[in-house]
Amino acid sequence: MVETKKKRETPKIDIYKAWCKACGICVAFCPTGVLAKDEAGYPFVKDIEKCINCGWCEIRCPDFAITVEKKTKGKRILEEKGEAAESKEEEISPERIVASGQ
Amino acid sequence: MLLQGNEAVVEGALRAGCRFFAGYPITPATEISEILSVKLPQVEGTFIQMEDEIASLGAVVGASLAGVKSMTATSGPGFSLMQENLGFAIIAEVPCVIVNVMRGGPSTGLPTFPSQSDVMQARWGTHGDHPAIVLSASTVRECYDMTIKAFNLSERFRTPVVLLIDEVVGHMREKMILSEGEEVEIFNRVKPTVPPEWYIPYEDTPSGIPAMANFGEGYRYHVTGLTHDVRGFPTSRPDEIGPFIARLHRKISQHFSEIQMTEFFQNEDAEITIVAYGCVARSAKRAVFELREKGFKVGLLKLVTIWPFVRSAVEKVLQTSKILLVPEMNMGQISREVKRVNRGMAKVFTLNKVDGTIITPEEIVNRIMEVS
Amino acid sequence: MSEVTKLIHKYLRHDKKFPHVWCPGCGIGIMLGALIRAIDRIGFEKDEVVLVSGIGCSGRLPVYVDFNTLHTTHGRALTFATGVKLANPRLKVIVIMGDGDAVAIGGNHFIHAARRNIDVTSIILNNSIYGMTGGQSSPTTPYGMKSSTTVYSNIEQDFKISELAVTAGAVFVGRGTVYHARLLDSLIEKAILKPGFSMVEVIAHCHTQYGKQNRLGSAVEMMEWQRDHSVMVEKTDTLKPEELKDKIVIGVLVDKQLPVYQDEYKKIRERAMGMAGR
Repeated sequence: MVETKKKRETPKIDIYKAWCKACGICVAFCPTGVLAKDEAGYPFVKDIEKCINCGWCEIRCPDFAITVEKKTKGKRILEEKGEAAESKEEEISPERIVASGQ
Repeated sequence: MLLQGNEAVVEGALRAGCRFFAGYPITPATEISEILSVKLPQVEGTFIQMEDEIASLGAVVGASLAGVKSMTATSGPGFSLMQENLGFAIIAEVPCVIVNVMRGGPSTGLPTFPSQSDVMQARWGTHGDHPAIVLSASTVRECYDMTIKAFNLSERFRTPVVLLIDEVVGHMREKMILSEGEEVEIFNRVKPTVPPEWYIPYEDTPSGIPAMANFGEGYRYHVTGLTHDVRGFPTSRPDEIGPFIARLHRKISQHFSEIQMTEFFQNEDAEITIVAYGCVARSAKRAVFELREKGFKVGLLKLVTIWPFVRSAVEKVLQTSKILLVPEMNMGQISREVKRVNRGMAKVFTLNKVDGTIITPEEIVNRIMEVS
Repeated sequence: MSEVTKLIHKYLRHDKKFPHVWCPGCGIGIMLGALIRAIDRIGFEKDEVVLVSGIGCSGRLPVYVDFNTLHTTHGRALTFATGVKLANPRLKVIVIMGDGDAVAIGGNHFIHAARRNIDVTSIILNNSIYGMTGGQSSPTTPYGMKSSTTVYSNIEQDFKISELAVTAGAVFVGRGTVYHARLLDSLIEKAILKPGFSMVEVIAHCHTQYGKQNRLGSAVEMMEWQRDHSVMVEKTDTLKPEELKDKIVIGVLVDKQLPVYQDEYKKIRERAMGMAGR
């Protein structure tokens, strides 16, 4: 149903404690403050509602210890349209990188 | 066929199935590179001239891991540079052949004159405790045969094999008969037959030699110069390192009979035995004739395998001989080993020459007359 | 299962070797992620990939990846890679090196592999220091900085790895930072797909050694520095030289065509066989 697909769903963030070394990178660079550090410095999901599903925490984690399961409409469309759409979706223009970087 | 020793090395290598050569120009081994640069592409092989000898042996080891029989050729200074990756090939158990056409040293030394001064470098040049297989050749025919043997041993035992050739043998032209239909024993590395998930790349087998998978054949595994466990992953556990290093030695030591090659000449009644190798063994053979004419009961033990040292053959001549003479073109690298095996059974004399000229039969004759 | 979990299960020796050996916050792990994403996008079979490395922190990378992996001697990774590639050109050979590996002890191999245009991809992790041995200065330690062997000050000029690769003739040269991890994905992907010698320089932080000795802060702070000092190569035209002075230019720096060694050697073989047949 088209209506339900357009509706935004909250992503699911998992932190794999066994591999996490509490470096703080995911927390520091989360653009919306979804993640926070606990007393020991390990990250936890503080406010999932703020997650914009940018995936940067996952990509910058040096330890493969954080995963973001995307549940937004983008993901659904990807699954329906297959690979062609996927590559288009994932392509990042240099401008966007600079924008996110500066 | 009239061939140079270096040319015979090339023919032997191609016959053994060598299809990759990486090298760096160096006198007196350059002919091997030059001829292979012509011949390897003719048989779908690859020749590459690298930026130095370190790179040459690196490329050779890489090519062997990808499944191609590979070799390089050099002389003393280049052999010094190769010691680093020679050690890698030993610990990672990668077959390959290194021909060292020896020159005098140290350093740049005597590029165009003969010498036998790399005997100990071939044994102990690379750091760490390791086994070594080192062969020598004293005739052009032996250059051919021993190159094939070097490939066979390296494939059989998964280890680098060094072939030491004296400059004079490498550059000497000599008749060599190579018949087309000649049967030559060729050994190819044993590959795993188990499914990839069962493959243990550095498994301790009864022979001590694990099966070797080539890159790209479905057996993805880790190759490292660090001490590793049976799966190839780095380890610093004493209970894994000890057995691993022991196996590296054992895979050679329990197969001495397959590796050690010698030639006895007129030894039946010999009271004096000359122990020699390389071009010196030729002079020694002539000296045996001359001395026998003079009434001396002289024999010759020619070493073809230099390392592992042919202890049992030396012990055999020690039982019959009162005197041993070890003439060599260095300050006494093999005589030291002979003395070690001797333990007072006979008198061991040396004849050392390091001036860039060969040891002549007369010099050997004179030395024997002097000591007997 | 999330995308990254699938990648971890597919490409990493996750059940054997993790968590990995690198310090908390080390950039090598981020680079490793970029590498497996790039390979996944290209769609290589794991059996056809050979990952070669030298010695040092970066040298430990292949052990974590489920390819044909080869951990060679210090600085010599490219020489082994040359042999692997020439012996079996069907294999996709990727070489991981550190700055010490690539431009100190292996500098000669690096420029010659680039000059020959051997079809291998090198990924050089440049963290300006010898991390594993305890923070000694490397050829990429900038002038005036401190290290365990330049405790007063480094009086040498540093190598610019990408510029060196360009001069040596590499047909593809890209530079990125671990902060810009998605750019790394695309640079590595392009480099691997490029026939000939391709190189990606990955600017990374070693907060444990270089950062500590020069008071540059944590991994996060050093990544912020990367963020604030990087300029996409496309934007450099619009900037004045003084604005570019302490900037890292990132992106695709060179992408050109030159005859590839293996292709040329094929022609040599044909000529040699023709002459032998005559």
